[in-house]
Amino acid sequence: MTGTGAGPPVVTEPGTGFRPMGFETASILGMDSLLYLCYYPSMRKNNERTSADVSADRPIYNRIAVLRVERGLSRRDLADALGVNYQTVGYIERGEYSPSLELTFRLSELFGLPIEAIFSRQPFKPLSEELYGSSSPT
Amino acid sequence: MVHTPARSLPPLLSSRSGRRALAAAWALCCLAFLVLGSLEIKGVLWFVLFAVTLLADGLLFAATHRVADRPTSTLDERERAIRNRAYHAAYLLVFYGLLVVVGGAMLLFFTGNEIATRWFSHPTDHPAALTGFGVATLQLVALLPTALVAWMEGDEPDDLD
Repeated sequence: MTGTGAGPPVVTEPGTGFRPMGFETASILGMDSLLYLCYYPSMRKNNERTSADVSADRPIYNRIAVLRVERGLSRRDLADALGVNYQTVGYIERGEYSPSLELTFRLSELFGLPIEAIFSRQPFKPLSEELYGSSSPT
Repeated sequence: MVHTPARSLPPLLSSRSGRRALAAAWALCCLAFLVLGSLEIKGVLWFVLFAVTLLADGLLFAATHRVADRPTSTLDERERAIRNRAYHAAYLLVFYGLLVVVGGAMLLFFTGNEIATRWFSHPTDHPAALTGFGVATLQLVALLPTALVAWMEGDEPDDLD
């Protein structure tokens, strides 16, 4: 189950979710973020995990930097093509920002590659290793 | 149209540690206004503090590319996300800050504390304190989201490679 609202979404296991009293009412009034802040320690105590915890556990790797350099593009060139700031391209390359689905599709179209060739849950192998196998030269 | 900075910033403004130091310096300036006011200090120190605060304001705006107060149409999705996080954190900080300050003052007043009673009865007897509180509040309202963006942003990538 994933919580909604302005605060970080909370991922809970079915049946173990800690739902403080008044959360629904507060959500209607737009005050759920405050309650979330108040109850956050209790939620952690109940082993609930926020989406930030989940993404820290399972980072998303990308090979945008390699693909960009392959095509002779600077960060600014890529940013202009995507309609974002060049800093944003840098943050995505470093894995410090996960792009939206919209931006992910734009990257996929721009590089002419499927999304799974650009982003992965597993670290990417070096291209040389992918092409020539894992045996080291003698 | 997304706003793209013309060039990379100097290291002081583009590194996380530099930006955090800047945000901390700005917070200290706000605190200094309160201290100067409550100690009823008058004179040239106020002008020095004003100058330093204005400098910190300018550097904070430059370091964050004014993400916190630029029109939404000129921000990309990452900038909108960090601005929203900063506004959310600023709202919570101001809410709890006011709760503590106003709640504490009312508690002191209603329990018959002598200083609090004198303050609430004749607030204009303390112009320096009022000025300090006013300037610090204005700074907080105007620049807290910008300072929070400066605090939250990571090391800024350059555009060269």
